[in-house]
Amino acid sequence: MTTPDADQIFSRIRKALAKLLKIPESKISLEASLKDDLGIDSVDNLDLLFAIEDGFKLKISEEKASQLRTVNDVIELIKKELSDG
Amino acid sequence: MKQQVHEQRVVVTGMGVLAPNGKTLPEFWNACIQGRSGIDHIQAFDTKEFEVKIAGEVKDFDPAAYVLPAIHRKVDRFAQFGVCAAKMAIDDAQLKIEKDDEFRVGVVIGSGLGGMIFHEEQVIRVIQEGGPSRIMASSVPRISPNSVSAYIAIAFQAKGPNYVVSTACSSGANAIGQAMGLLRKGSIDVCITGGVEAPITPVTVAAYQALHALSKRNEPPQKASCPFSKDRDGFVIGEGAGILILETLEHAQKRRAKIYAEVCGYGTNCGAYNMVAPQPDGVDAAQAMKGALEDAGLKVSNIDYINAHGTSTLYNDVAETKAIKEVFGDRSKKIPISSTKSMTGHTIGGAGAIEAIASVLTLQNQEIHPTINLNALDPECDLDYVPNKSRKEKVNTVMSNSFGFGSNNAVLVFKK
Repeated sequence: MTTPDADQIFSRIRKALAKLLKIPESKISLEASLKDDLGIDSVDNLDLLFAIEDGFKLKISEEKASQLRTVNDVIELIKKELSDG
Repeated sequence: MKQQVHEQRVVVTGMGVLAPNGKTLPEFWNACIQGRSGIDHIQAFDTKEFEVKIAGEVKDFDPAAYVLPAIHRKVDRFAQFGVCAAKMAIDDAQLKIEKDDEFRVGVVIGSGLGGMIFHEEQVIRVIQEGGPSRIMASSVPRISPNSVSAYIAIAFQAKGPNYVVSTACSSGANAIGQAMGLLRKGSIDVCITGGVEAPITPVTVAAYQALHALSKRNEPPQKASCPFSKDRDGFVIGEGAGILILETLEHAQKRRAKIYAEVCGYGTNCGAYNMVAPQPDGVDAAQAMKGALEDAGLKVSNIDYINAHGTSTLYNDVAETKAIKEVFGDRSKKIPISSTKSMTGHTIGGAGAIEAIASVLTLQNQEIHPTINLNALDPECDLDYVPNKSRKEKVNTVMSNSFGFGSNNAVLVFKK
């Protein structure tokens, strides 16, 4: 399986976030703040982590997840984890 | 017994309803008056293997039409019903919760079951799809029964006493009674109260089906719920919510709120008889009705209409009839009695509150909705159940009955 590029990751994360947050994908930009723009709280954060792990077959520590601030941070983390994996 | 001293009178100033036969007050009331049922084939899941294939579902419900996703996306359907009906009730009451008053606004909601839909999804993930790591972190806050009262508080910044009352089929009525108690004492000025339920799930329907509590008269669905009829064979499960804004009369007058009715009586007890069957002679239900009358300072002769519990089960409808006869004596044959459940099905924790709303709308409109599907009476049910056609009547007081599993009885009295 080829490693997904940043655009593919963004597209998948957008879908997952839109489903989790029940908002249109168009509202989810790379720069959007998870907390301030998307209203993700501590519990959502855990569900998001779950969705990432599920969607990309990754194991991400809660410590790393707690440092995520924007949608772009999520994509960078996934990219890093996939290439390290 | 000594008469309780009522420090504060309590009134209804706003209502919001999500019922199988109507998602706004006018839609619900028109359906009730016209005898329109909201019962249909179950859409929520595939009923192929079920004997019971019908329910009262709230169709085309879109929580986004009422509140922001930041609220409704975090809760199970039962709590979405509660938050959205609360939004309608608050708008109807034109209630503005100001910063200084936040702690004077309570939330007391009835729910028999809590977040069953989400619970079942998570059980499947853990048991069928690969162990505990499959569960979503948001499970506990979504399943907890008090997520409904907590999210109503979060959505509208109501910071007073906040709890969920869970007494099965009488949850909604008991919540309203408990809210009335807080207001009478003066602990709070306003209470967002009522009842909610979303039990149309495979496990929940299977569970009630296993108790032989549900009607299996699947065709046509609209005819299955037939309280007091000789053909009845069980209740039809339903979902929905009824939320009322209760206020002290003083507070309502001060802000010049529209007043629908006064909640003036509440009687509740437990027959200590059986977890699923009512006491056949209805003495415990009768006692709760007497308690509500005494609490209201009213006599049997003052009651103009009874909104029955009327589930369409073999046992309830006879026991309730006996209880009404025990309390009302000679007058029992003269009082119009009708069952909202003939049109909504039994919405469990929502029922007492949806029927409280029907009771208040009866007072407002001076019209009594019928018990539908009532063509041949059970010989043991020989009172005036307002069969099939609504009736214009002068109604100044209403008694609303709710009797739950666990012999839990709750009776409310409303007056103009």
